[in-house]
Amino acid sequence: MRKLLAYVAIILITVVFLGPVAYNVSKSLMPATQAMADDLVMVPSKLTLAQYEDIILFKNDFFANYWNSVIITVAIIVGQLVIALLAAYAYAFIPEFWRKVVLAMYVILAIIPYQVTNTGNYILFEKFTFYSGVPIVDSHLSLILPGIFSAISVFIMAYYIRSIDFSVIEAGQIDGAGHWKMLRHIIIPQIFPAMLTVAFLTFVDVWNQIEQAVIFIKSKELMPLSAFIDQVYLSEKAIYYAGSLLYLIPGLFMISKLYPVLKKLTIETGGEK
Amino acid sequence: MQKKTSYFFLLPSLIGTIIFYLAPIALSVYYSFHESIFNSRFSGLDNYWSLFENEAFQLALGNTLRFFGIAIPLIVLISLFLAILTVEIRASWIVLCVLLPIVIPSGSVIGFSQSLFGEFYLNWLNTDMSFVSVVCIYLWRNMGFSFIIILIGLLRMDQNQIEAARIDGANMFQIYRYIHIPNIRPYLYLATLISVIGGFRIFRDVYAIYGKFPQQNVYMIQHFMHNKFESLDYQMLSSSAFLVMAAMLAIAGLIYLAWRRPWVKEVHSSQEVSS
Repeated sequence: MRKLLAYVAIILITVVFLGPVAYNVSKSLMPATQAMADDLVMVPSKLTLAQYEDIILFKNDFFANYWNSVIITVAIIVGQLVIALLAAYAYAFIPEFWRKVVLAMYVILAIIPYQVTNTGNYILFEKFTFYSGVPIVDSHLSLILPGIFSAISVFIMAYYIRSIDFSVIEAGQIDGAGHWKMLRHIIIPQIFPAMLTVAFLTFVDVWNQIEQAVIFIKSKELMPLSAFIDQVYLSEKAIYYAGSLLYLIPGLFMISKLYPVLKKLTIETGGEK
Repeated sequence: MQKKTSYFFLLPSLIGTIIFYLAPIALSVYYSFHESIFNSRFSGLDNYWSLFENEAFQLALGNTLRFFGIAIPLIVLISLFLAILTVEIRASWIVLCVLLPIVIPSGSVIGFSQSLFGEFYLNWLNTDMSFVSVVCIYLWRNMGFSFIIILIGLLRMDQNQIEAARIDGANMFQIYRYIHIPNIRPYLYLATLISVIGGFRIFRDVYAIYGKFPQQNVYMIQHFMHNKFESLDYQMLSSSAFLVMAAMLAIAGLIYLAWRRPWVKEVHSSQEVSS
């Protein structure tokens, strides 16, 4: 009886949480005419890769937007890792009082919604362009620059660095290791899990960013796909499902890497029942 | 000597934070108390009064409050239920399912929501039921974060305490009600905070479905602000930005205070001793 209930629960959860994604997969394998119907039929009348062919051969704009997303996401993740790593490194050495101040500032900034900072950012960018002539609004810089300094990443790395082995750091100092050596051989290996966490969370957020993109980017060809895909749905529904599947594949890849960790978490740490 | 030079490594982050976060916030607070972006006359609370008289803002505020009032308790309760279920039947498959929507871009599921909630089946999107569909999308997309936090809380529980209660004859419901829930309170608070932050990102999904002007029941404060951007109304924009920020800080502050209450600390220290 208990086992039966468990199975029912698992099936129900699978249907609810995986359903929309499965729907996307099956729709992307349908002939365009069937895919464009708004029903929930999930069996293709004929299995075909026609939508994918269509995108690859004829839809260069789609890849232009896709490529924008890639550039923006990679630039922000790399920039964030460097900035947050340096900040966390300094954090390991500063006095206790300033640690608390710094950490409090970052955690407060991390909970403020984008809509709040976008306002001031927009005014600042316009002023900067007015005085210097360098356009920032309507270029990828307007998304990348604020993204690199995300507070949550610094918070996660600084918080994590408190748990690492400080005796190694002190030993390194006594041996006269320079900053670069310390970072490369002592800090990075120990803080690596936090760097992966930051990269994952940043990917999830930036790959799907809409708030900033629809405000800062005016030209269609500079839009990341996240802010443009609703246009694809409206105007080119025949390729939408294949396109949106291509767009969510990097996410699926990441979650598949995460699965072994999750498995370990639920099976092992719980102890036996 | 090396200690001192290492402080400089904080500088890039600090400078960026000041330019792209602190200065913009200060700027919008400044504009919210002044007549216009060109005229620096102090105007007191005038911008705020006209904001509260604005009908679009009233609608947005009402919808936002209703959304948070319904969606946040729902998501925390359902995550708690799912986490308990996962612990009971030890199924990591559930964890994978619930986490998956986190990595799915909003735009990639609009096809599904347009079909399910659109005219063909439920026909909710253009009626007052649009609110229910947005809450459903929110739950689906954000469950992963709160679920995993609560799950970690449950898995870190002191097993001896549970075993002792079981031997004393407590049933499963009693064990969860009187042992698990009080013990994982800090995790529940964190899950609530994360869910509130996620609540602001519902803009992404609503925008992907409706564009700039959603059905009026799901027109929220984020849309109001977005539309004020288009019309370059910085006064309305900066005063609503300040209100949103103040509200977020107040919520976070409340959660922090609840967290710091002595009984939570006790639970925390007893956990550390046991682990």
